[in-house]
Amino acid sequence: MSTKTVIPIGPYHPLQEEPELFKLYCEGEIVQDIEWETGYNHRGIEKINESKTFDQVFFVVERVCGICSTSHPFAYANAMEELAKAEVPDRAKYIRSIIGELERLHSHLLWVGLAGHFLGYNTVFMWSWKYREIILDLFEKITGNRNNYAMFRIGGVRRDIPNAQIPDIKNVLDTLKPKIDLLTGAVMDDPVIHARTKKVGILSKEDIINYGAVGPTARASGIAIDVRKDDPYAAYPLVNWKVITSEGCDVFAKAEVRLLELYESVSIIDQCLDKMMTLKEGDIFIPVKNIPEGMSFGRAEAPRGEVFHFIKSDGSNSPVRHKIRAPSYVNIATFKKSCVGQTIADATIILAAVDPCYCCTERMAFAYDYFTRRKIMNGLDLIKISHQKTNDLKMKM
Amino acid sequence: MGLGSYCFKKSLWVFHFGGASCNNCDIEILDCLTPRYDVERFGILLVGTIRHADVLLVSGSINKKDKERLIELYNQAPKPLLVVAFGACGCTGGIFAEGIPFAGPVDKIIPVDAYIPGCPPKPEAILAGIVKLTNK
Amino acid sequence: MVSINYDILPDLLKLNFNSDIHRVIIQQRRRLVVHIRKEALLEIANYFLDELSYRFIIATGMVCDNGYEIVYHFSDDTNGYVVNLMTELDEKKPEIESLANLINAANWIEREIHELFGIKFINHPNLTKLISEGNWKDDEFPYARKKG
Repeated sequence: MSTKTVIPIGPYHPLQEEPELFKLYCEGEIVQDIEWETGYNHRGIEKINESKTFDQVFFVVERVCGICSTSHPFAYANAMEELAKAEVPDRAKYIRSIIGELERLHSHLLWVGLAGHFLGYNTVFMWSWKYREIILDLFEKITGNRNNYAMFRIGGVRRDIPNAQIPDIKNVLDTLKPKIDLLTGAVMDDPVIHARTKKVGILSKEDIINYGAVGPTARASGIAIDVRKDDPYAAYPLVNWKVITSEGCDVFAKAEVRLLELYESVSIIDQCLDKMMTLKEGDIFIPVKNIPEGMSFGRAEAPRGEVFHFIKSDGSNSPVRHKIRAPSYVNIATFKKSCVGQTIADATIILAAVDPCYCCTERMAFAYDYFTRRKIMNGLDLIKISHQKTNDLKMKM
Repeated sequence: MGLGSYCFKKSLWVFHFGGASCNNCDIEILDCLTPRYDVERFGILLVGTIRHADVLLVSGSINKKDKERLIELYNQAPKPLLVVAFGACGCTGGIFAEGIPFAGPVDKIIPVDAYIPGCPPKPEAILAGIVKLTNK
Repeated sequence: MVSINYDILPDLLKLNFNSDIHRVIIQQRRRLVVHIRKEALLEIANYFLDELSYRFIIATGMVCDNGYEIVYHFSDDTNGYVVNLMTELDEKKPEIESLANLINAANWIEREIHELFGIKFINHPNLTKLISEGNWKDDEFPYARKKG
């Protein structure tokens, strides 16, 4: 049976020929330098938003990224409510946080699956995506769609979560906890995964600061930055939770941070649901009539890090300027530091460790010979080499 | 029905081309391969090169840079080839049709055999679309 | 690392940079906008990055009445402040000193602003194309000020 029949390959656009995200210049097995080319995903969103009304912009920014689909409207709503000086009702804050944390759950599970696939653990991929379906079902129950939830509006949320539904949601979350235990155990205790990911793709604290990296990428190098704690918004200051960090600085640390964050997310959602039961149903937004002239800066913590939105308004119905910065924009640049000096076999897992959101950036990696600049392998080959290394390690152990 | 078309229907090999998209469609395609929907039981596989493909699945709005690549892929593909425009962006460009780099929806670039609308289309819709396609 | 109190930050800036600061506006809670002389960008950015340990978030290019504005956004993660340095560039000669040598996080965004607006970043280590190749022509700047 040819290896091609096993599973879909690679990151989200696995099979596109020559999208040339990264050119890894290699001398023998070691990556010496990296170049970057992009533009395949450029859609001109910031310009599109200038011709939309403030309400319509929510639907556009949701589609900046499929996986961080809520984080962008979250940051945008934060920015707009600062500008309009609108205080969102408590129930809406809880609902927003619940949606945000559910998204973090599904995004991290997605990541675990892909990381597993890159390392050659296709079972992890299948299982984590299977458990992810439970969360997508929950989303469908609450919002009507598996992705792109359209829950946010300026001043609150568009749909309520009825109190009668809350016990069901809590039950579903209870069934999820043992699955998370299973995945965490499978990943954190496996000696081959330790061998593949420890001391690989190291990013020191200085590197993180220099590249301005955010999210689990930064937290895995011991830098405890998290917008939910640093610049609190929605229901995060109203519930108990902690920022997860690790001092490992390597790929294993990044995996550890994401897995442990799953538990925190479940805890936050539980607490929000409990608090919502005590609040009156239906009180989910305050009307906002005008957006005054001025500038506003909103941010949110996406699964990948800080999302930043800047709005300039001139008092009319549309933004004059809307700048969107997704976390992958700064995180992916760290690849230049974390990949140089590493072997080609580790290239895919190092890139995946940053959890690049390809819609905010781009896709695959290619390896080039350092001296001749000729392409020697494509993304599929890189993944095969990674699988081979795992198999070799398994034999040795 | 000739042997060729009979075999064609039994096991479709799909090559996925992603244009400028939000990746939701791409993830829903990968979702089809996971245990709940498990499209592999129908013999449908994602393949690594267009030269082995029976179906070209195009998702995402196509920007100018992707357009050349798409045409190149279409020309390289062995015929008969079924082209499926996937998602709102693939069918019409969706909300990104007003963007500056937009280079026309897929059916203005290459001929399309089937459209699967949705933002993103649910895996059930994908399976229904594939079935409709094979029954054409 | 000292966390500077929000209330004294405007005075501290005026004290250290006096004529380089045009005005300081407290935009919303935890948000500050500082209009600076563009020539003083490196010095003031260095003050935030080095002495106050702020993090560079991103930069935004905008068209304005007299030409262009670039806003540089910085974050103090110990207290959630976002400080935004506003610089104005003349329409006829839109250029400014690059921040990329000071902090790597500014590298890509300056390339992107250059491609979209046509603004030149002096001494940028690698002002090559980031997103435009194939999407628009070399001499086009899609977000630039329209003539006339």
